[in-house]
Amino acid sequence: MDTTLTRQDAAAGPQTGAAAAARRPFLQRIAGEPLLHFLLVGALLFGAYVWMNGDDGEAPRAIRIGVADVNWLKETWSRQWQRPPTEQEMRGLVREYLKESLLAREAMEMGLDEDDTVIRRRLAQKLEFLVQDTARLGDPPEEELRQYHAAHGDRYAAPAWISFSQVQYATEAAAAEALSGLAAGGPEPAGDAGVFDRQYANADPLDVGNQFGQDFARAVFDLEPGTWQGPVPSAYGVHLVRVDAREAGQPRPFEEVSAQVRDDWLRAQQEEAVRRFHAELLDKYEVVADESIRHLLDRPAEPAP
Amino acid sequence: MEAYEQKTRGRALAISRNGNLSNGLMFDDVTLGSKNPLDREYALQRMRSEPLYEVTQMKGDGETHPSLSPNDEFAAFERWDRGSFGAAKEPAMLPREYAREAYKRGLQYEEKLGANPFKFGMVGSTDAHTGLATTTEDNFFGKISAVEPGTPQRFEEKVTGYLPDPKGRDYTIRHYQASASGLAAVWAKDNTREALWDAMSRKEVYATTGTRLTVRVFGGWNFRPNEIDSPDFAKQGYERGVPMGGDLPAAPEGQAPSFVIRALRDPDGANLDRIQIVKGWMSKDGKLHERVHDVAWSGERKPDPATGQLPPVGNTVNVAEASYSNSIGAPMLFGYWKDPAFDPKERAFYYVRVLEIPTPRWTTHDAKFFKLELPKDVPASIQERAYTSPIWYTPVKRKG
Repeated sequence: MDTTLTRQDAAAGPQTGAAAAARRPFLQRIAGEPLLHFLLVGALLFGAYVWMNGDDGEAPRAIRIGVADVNWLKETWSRQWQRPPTEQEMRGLVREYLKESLLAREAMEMGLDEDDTVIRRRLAQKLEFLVQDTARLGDPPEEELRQYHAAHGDRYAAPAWISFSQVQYATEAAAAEALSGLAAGGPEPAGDAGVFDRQYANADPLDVGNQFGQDFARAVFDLEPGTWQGPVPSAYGVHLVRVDAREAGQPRPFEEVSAQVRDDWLRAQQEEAVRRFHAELLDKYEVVADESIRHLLDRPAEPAP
Repeated sequence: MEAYEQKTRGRALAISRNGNLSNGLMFDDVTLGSKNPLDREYALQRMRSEPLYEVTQMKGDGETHPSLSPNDEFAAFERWDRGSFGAAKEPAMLPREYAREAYKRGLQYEEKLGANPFKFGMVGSTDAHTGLATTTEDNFFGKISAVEPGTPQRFEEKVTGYLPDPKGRDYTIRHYQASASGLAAVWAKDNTREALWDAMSRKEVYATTGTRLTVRVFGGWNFRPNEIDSPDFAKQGYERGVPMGGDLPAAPEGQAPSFVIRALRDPDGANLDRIQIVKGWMSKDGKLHERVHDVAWSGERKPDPATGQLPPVGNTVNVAEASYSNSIGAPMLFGYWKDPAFDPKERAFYYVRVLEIPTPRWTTHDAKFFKLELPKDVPASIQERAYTSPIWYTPVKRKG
């Protein structure tokens, strides 16, 4: 029988190996163990590594900065300043980024991220953004958008607008006189010297109010188009007004506002996704609370041990 | 700012403010850091970089001071003249803190240095640390959120006076003394960033103390009184004169400058009391002068033949109700004025001041709404106003 324990014998199975081992001296048995060989090789490698890296106590830690990071810095900066950064500015950005990364890494190692309100809030916000993003997946079917548009019609209404001509008078009497003169076949009202344009086209209530005052704007939007009417008082005097065209605040058709509807619908989906996620988290985690504050929670919590 | 312009070919301007709290530094006779006397280089640089001044805002009004303008019955408006943020005021500081005096001293400097370091345009602003532009008396949200309407310390909160004065004087100013001010009005050719910047850079701007007054003025050599009614008022103004912030061209022989002015009230606000022109000039002996002229006013009032003063417009404010009525004043005023005392050899500036009829101060609104006592040393009603940037006249040395 061969007295040398070979690798094949050991690999052949415990019975063969054990049987073979029982017949050899102890030390020789140990020396042949593959586990020991592995340990020896490992020790050799470790020793070589330590030797090669000198005696600086701790090995230097690497902080990576790559092309992608620098591009991101350049992108965000350019978007804010509406131009690319100069070479000097780029170096400054990289310098700041590196400094920030080193500080952050070191701070985390020191455990500074624990019990920090700002970090906790940022993490919560970051997760909410991610959850909101899940709501972005997939284009909504047009039918659903149309339903949303129909349900929230008032949000998509165009403001009323008006086109009108006006002339200004110093007194109500003068304005009334001009109006009755017109009715009797006289000339178009000319007004006294005024400071405003004679004609206004496609003005909405805000435009008219900003110019003449809100009372005038309200009055003018109530006038029937086609004839000179008045006197209508404004902040500046008395006017005769002829409404030439008028459009009530119409709800705009879906096609016109589809982009806005999509945005609003999406936002509603995001809010729903976040709300659902909050609910899931409450189910997933067991909230354990001190006795004295349990009355402040919405849901009953487990008592603190 | 220069470095920014050189590196990026962008353009930058700065707007300084609160001379009234600078304890004499804003319009000082020496530079801020090295305390060197002003020179031509400094004057040119300053006007290039700081063409505008925020003359009115929450921390007081900086147009003028009663001690500097003793004949101006409207000079004591929303004054913050007790000190800076660190020390009490000394009277000698006042001339170096207010806009009108700075305009006058600027004429002296121009004579001396060949450039005017105080040739700025005027705007208003809020200086609110709330991000809310609440400049009307009935909607004033205060300086910071801690003094919003309804907060217990809204009147008494200290704004200045935290640091001990070197001589132990009390220079505290409290929040009830803050103003619901102001607005920057810009006559721009277009509602674009570039056009607004250009208008600010050329000083075609004016300040209001918070209401939306519309004010326009042109100065020229041949305007006629009836032109204030002209339908193409502005077109004529630009063609034959200069707008606010501009410089009158050389005086034709024997002519005096004439000004055409239009002012409109805030469309949802109070009527106007009067339009005034403030003239400042330097006489041949180097002395500085100022005079306020009433140009147009509401109603049938006539200036007192003895004093030249126009009677006040009246006061419809009901303090208990914090209300007023537009039964006095006028919604629009047009004015024409020609300088009766013009001397072509004298440097001068002219700016327009427009006053509203009295309206309740925000403290009066607060007192009614929250059932508080009116604070003692602020008026129950104020006359809001607008100040335009000046039009300057500079004598030209003629040959022969």
